[in-house]
Amino acid sequence: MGMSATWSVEAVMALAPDSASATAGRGLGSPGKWVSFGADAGAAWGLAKGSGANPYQVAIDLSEPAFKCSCPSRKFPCKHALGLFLLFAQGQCPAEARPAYVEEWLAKRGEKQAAAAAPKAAPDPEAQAKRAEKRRDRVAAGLEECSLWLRDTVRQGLASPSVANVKHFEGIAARMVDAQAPGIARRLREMGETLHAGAGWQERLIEQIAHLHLIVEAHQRMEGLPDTLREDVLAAVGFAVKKEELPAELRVRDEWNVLGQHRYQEDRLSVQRSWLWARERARWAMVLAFSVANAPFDPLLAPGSAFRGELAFYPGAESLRALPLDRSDAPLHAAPALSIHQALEGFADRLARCPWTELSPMCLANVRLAGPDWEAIDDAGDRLPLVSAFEPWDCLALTGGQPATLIGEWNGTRLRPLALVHEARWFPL
Amino acid sequence: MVPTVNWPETVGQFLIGTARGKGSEVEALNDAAMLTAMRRAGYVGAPSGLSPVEGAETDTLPPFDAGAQDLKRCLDEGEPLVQEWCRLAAARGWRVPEIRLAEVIDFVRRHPQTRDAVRPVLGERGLWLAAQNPSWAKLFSLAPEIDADEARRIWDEGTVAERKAVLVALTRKDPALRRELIESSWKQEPAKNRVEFVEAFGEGIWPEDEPFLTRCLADRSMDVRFTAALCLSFVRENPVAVEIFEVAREFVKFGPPMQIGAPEMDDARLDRFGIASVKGPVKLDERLSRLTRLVSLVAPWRWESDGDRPASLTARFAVQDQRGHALRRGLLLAARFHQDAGWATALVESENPQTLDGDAPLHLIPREAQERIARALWASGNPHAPYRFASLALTGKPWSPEFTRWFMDQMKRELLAQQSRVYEGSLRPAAYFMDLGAAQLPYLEPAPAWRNAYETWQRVLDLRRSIHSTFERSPKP
Repeated sequence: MGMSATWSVEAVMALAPDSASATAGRGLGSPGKWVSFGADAGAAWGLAKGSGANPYQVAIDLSEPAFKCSCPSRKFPCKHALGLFLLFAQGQCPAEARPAYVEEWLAKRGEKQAAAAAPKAAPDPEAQAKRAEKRRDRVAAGLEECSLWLRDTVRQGLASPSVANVKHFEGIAARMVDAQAPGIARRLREMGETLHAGAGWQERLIEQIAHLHLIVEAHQRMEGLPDTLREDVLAAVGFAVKKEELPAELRVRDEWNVLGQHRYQEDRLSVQRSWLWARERARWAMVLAFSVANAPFDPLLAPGSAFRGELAFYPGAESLRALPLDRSDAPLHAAPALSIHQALEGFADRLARCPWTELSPMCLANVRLAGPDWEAIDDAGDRLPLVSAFEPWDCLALTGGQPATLIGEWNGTRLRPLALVHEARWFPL
Repeated sequence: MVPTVNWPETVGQFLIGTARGKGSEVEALNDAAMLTAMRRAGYVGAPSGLSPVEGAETDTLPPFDAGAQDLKRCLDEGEPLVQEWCRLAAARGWRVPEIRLAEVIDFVRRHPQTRDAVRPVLGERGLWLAAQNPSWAKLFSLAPEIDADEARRIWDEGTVAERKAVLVALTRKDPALRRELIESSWKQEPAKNRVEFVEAFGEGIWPEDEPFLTRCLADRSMDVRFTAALCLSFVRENPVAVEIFEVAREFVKFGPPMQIGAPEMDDARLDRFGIASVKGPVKLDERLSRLTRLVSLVAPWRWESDGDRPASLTARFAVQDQRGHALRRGLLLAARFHQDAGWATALVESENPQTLDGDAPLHLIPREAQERIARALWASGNPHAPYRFASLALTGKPWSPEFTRWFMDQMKRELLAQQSRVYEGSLRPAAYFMDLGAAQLPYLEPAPAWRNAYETWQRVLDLRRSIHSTFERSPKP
């Protein structure tokens, strides 16, 4: 099922750093605003009328994409680059020979990339091993403290005022940051947020405590675990695997379809979670990207786009997390849609292989919505409650209440809808 | 391993704590961990009793998907552009693309004045969607439906604004209930509420309402009396309206010769119409302000007689004169109350454009006369001119090609000048209503202070061109 051109207008607009740039960029997306413009297989370029005497030189390296513009704007990409990209996405750029300024810029980029790829001086392996050992010791000591804290919490009980207090969770979370166990610290902070939040918070909090206990216990019994599970435990504790350490045998070349994306704030960081479907291998991948101070995310993973390329998966028994390594454009295809029953069975299988799984992607067939506490209901009458922040209006407008394919992420209790496939078209939600 | 307890037991154990309950904390944690994994793996949705949303009816109009991008920009840019998009879509038999429906409907919630333009292009799908969301559900219902019980409940429990809205809603549906409600609590209402409720009769007066409004002329509050007199002035044959006109005619005779008198301050007849009386000697301008109030209570058409049209009547008195000025202000207020375009035009055109002030009801004046006045304003050096331009542009009527060309010529000069008479806010509304064919602008480098305004202006014009060409390129469905 081919659904849209490689760069849809929506995908281009998703690159805008803010809504003012989006509006201005849309305004520049018509041929009349340009002195000249053109494209070839690798790049698009144009001369934009500006307020200065000379028009601005705008260029896009389509392989990434990367942007260049001679205007003084600090926005990135600027409105000119967005406008040009819109022209290109709408198929309005005529095929032409590259002007000199584009050639020059691309050549410089090539040099920089080559320099970045060149092997750096190898760090001292002895010092590295020392640092790693020191961290392992700190984490082990930290998790020992966390284990005591868990037991103390259960001994006092959640009804006790000193436990049902956000300070009880924040204090230990801060100590886990010091112990270099950020994965544990995040879970503890989330527990603090669950406290007194809505009906049934006690049961949700107990589940979170139980889940943490499972990680801490597993970490203390690391020696007895199979290698892959050990990797899962380390990832849950917060040991990051460096890009260059990702195992070569876990690389997967396929046609990757960015079917859903969710962005949220964590501390001062913006996090972008993208769900990718491999068309040939029929498997999911999750790519996390981070941005500080609202810097734009890597446009490679625009929702609704697709590419042929290689992903390097993180080690683990049921690892979904991966990093994209290279890309070339491809048309978008959705994952096969399952019934809610089938999707839940798949989630159970995933949990059986890795009990620390937090989220699982779902592509659900023939789903309709029911409200006002919104839930998704399929043909068989099975239902999944949706996250409370979900606004159903676009979904209803597009389907008119008819069954459609819904793509989302399931956390074990609620589904967050991310995209919709209706009448062979993909829409972000 | 199998947990030794079930989930409810675990929850109980965690709540009271193992110190006071039974079992060890490690066992409790192990049981909870296992149960949690099992519960997540074995999730089965509890029946919620909710049924899927009933599907929308099939639409006869096709969605104009080609215009989805333009429409998005219109939503960012402002109400007049959304209205223009919708009018063009309606004329050609299209509806709003589904991907934009939620945004467009929420736009109407925030800008209710766009409702009438948007409604015809929502299609079945849009009206259905609006009905699903409680905060949209009432936006497009044709007449706000209200039954008698609900009206009584709101009358007893609602805020002043809600109670007034009930009276307005009952105007055509149940005028007897409207009178019943207002009279039921009349004696207990404070004066400011009574004024609000009498104002509701501005929506429409039935013969049966006239006795009540006439009784209001005996109200303690001057504002209530004035408001009731104003309402009655809309009824052609009403004795009070005729009486007010007769009193006014004692002071204003269009002649010839033209005579303008000033009412005495202890004239009890005026007191009855809500125009204050004071004992003792007062200055002429205070008496003249009573004349203004009195004239404002007369429907302007009453002054016309055989062969005397507004333009010939306004030509008979000079507004520079203190008395003429007072009369003119009264007539302007009356023209505004009664939405009388003929009088509004005659009054504005009889005035020197240099002194035309903010009271002028320019929105009532036909486009052709507006354009004439705008040019005269510009040439006169009136300090309010830029603001008057903005209000002329905001009247929502399309500009003629000639006026657009003239305006563009002025703008080219102004935008290059360091000291411009144009203010930024008047450029944007101008771009909303200019004739697109005549609004050709060569590329120019505006003075720095005007760069933003100029870019906005260009962007709005570009968007309008894009909207029109997208519709023209798409064959009618």
